[in-house]
Amino acid sequence: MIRFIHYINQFFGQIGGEEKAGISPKMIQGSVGPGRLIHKLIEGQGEMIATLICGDNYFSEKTEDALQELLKWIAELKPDLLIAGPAFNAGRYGVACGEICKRVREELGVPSVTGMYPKNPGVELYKKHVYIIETTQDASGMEKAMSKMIRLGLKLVREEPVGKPSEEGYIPKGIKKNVLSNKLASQRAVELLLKKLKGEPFQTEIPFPEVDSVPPALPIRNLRKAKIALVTEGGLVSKGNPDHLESARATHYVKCLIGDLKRLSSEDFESIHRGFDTHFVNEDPNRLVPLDVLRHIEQEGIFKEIFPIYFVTTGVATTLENGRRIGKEIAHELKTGGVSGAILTAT
Amino acid sequence: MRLEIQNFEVRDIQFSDRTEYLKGVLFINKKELIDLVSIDRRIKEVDIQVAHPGERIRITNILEISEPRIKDGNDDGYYPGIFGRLVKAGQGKTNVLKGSAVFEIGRMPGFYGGVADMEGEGALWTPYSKTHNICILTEPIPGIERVEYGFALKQAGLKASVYLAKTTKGMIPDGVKVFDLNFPSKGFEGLSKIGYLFLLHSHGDSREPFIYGDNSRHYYPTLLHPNEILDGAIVCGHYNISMSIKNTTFALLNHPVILDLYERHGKELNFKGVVIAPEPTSLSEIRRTAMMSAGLLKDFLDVNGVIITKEGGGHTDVDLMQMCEECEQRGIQTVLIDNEWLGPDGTGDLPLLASSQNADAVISVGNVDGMIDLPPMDKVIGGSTMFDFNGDLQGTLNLPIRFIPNAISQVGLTYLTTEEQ
Repeated sequence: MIRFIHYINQFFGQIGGEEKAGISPKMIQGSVGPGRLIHKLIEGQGEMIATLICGDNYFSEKTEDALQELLKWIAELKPDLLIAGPAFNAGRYGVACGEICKRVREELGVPSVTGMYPKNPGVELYKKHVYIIETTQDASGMEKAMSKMIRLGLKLVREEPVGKPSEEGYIPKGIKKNVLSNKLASQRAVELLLKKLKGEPFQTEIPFPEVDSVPPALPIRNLRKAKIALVTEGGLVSKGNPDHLESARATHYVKCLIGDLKRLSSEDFESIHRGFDTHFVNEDPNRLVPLDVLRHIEQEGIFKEIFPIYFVTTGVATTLENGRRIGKEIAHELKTGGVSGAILTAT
Repeated sequence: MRLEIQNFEVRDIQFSDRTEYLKGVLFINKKELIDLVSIDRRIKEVDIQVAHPGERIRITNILEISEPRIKDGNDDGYYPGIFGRLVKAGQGKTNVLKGSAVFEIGRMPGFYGGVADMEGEGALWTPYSKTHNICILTEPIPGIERVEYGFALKQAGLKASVYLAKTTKGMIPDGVKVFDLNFPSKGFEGLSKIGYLFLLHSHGDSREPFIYGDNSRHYYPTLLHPNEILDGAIVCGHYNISMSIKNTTFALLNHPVILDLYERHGKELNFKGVVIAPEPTSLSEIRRTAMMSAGLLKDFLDVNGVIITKEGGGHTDVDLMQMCEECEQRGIQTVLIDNEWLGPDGTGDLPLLASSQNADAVISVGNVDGMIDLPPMDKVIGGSTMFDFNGDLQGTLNLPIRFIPNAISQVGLTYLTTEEQ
C-alpha cells in the first residue's frame, strides 16, 4: 500500500478562515476536508496516513519554524507521497504548498505534487521545482484537480515516466527540452513571416522574459526646496520585525519611522533579508539606509528636509508581479507625501 | 540570373580501380584520391573512408562538410575564388552528386570536432546520417599553425568534392532544378516583398567563412543574388568553433531559407534578394553594419519583410538584435532564427544573450547546451578520441548536442527546436 500524506491550510483543514490563519502546524491522523477525496480516489492502491495543517499566515511569517516541525513529522511518518492543496488561486497557501513540496522532495526524497491556478504567485516560484497540476480559480474544480494530482503522484512513486504537461495536466515547468519539429526551421520561419505580414496572430518560439524600461524622472528643479526620501529592498526593519516583513519573497512593504533621528542605531534596526550576509548592515544600518550622511547634507542646506519615514521591502525571490505592485504603492505614498526625490538602495 | 542544378542521385559508393559515376553508384579509385589530396605538404596520413546510411558507424573529428559539385559545360571548376577560378557563381549548369557529402576530418588542439552517427538514436539528430559520406582523414604536419591546417583541410575537402563530381560531366541528370527570380509571372502584384538578411561570422582566422575566397571580415554589407550562395560563392572557413554554431558548406549550398523562399516565389511571396553582412566585434561597427544592411533592404530591395539569421556564438545575438531593430524601425517586418542557451538541463532563464522588444517572432533551432545520449557503435571513422572531449568515442556517449553537425543549424537546416515541459 502506498502511504499518502496531505498538506492543507487552516481553511481547508476546517479550523477557520482568515481569523485562524495564524495557527501553528497540526497533525491529524487520516484525512480531513479535501483529503476525504484522496481517500476515496486511492482506494485499493494506498492509504491516507495523516493530514498536516498549518495557518497561511503562520507559514508565511514563520516559514522556517513551520517547516522544521512539518518536516520532522513527515520524516517520522515515512510517507511514499505528499499531496499539498490544491491551493487554487490562494496566494499564501500556494506558496506554502510549493515550499513544502520542494523541501520534502529535496530533503527527504519524498515525491510530491500540488495544484494551483496558473496565476497563483506560488506557480512562478515553484514550477521549476515541483509538479503543479493546473486548477480552476476556486474550489469548484477540486475533484478534477485532485484526481490528476493523484494520477501523477502515483507515477512518481512508481517511477513511471511522466508525460508532457498537456497529457498530465501539470503547469509547464519552465524547462525547455530539445525536440524535433515536423517542419524544417527555415520553413517555420517563412510561414511565421507570412503570418506576421498578413497581420494574423503569430507566436514566437523564443519568448523573452519581460524587462521593463523605466523612463527616468526629470531632475529636481530646485534641490534646496526638495524633500528627500529613503527607500530600500534590503529588509531593514525595526528590531523584532513588528510588522512581519517577509525575509524572502516579499508580498508587501513596511514603513519605518525616522523622525528626527541623526542616524540609525543597531540597537533599534536590523535586516531580516535572507538574500545577503546581513552581518555588516546589522553592525551599522546606515550602510544600507544612509541616514547619517543624508542628515549631514540636510544640515548643510543642500536640500530642504528628509522625509520622516523610510520604506522597506525584501528583494529576494520576490515575484516580478509583487515587485511591480510594491513599487507602485511606495511611489504613490511618496508622491502624496510631497517627496521630490528618493534614494533607493539595493543589496 | 538563371541557375540549373542538375542532380545525379547517389545510391551507393564503392571503391574501385576507376573513379566513375554509373547508374546511381559512385565508384572511387581510393589511391588516386589519396594521392591527389596528399600533394598538399601541410597534411599527412591521408586516408579515405566511406560511411553509408544505416551502418553502425560513428564519424568523429568532423571539421567541415561539403557536397561534390562541378560546373557542367565549362572548365571553371567549382567554389570560385577559393578553389575554382574567380567567376560569378549562380548561373549556368551545376552538377551535384546528390545524396553524398564530403567530410573534412582532422585533429588539432583548439579545433572543435563534430560527431555523426549513421544509425540509431544519434542518427536522428543529423541530416548527414542520410547521405553517403566520403571521409577525408588527415593529420597536420608537426608545428603547423592552426590557420594553415585549416586552409589545407579546406583545399582537401573542396578538391575531393570537385574530383568526385567530375564523373558526371556531360551526363544526363536524374533531375534538374531551375533557379531564376525573374521568371515571367502575372501574380507578383499583391505579394509581400521578402528579403533575406544573412549574417556571416567574422571573428578572425578560422572563425569566419570565405566569400569568393576572401574572409567575411573584409566585407561591408552587400547585395548578393541568392543563386550565388546556392552555387558556391560562400564556403565555410571555421575550424575553431563548434559544429552547431557555424554553417557547413553543405548547408550553404543547400541553404534552406533561400530554397524555401524560392519555393514560394511568385506564389505566396515575392523573393527580392539577399543581403549578406559581416558580424564585427565592436558595438559601433555592429551598429553601422546593421544600419547599412537595413538600408540595402529598404532602399534597394524595397522589401516589407525579412528573415534574418546569424552565425556564431552568444556575442552575435547582439548583431541579430541590432539588425532586427534597424529593420523594424524602417517598417520591415522581421523573423529571426536563433539557437538558445539554456544550460544542460534546459532551465536557463535567459534564452539569448541579447534581446529586443522588436524581436517578437523568433524561430528556435534548439538549446546548444542540451545533453544527448548516444549508444555505442561498431566502428569509428576519424579516431576514438577528440581534443575537446574526454572519453572513448566508440562507446556510450553523453555529450552536448552542439557536437552533432547540423543538429542545430543557424540557417534552419534542422528540425530541432525546444519545447517547454
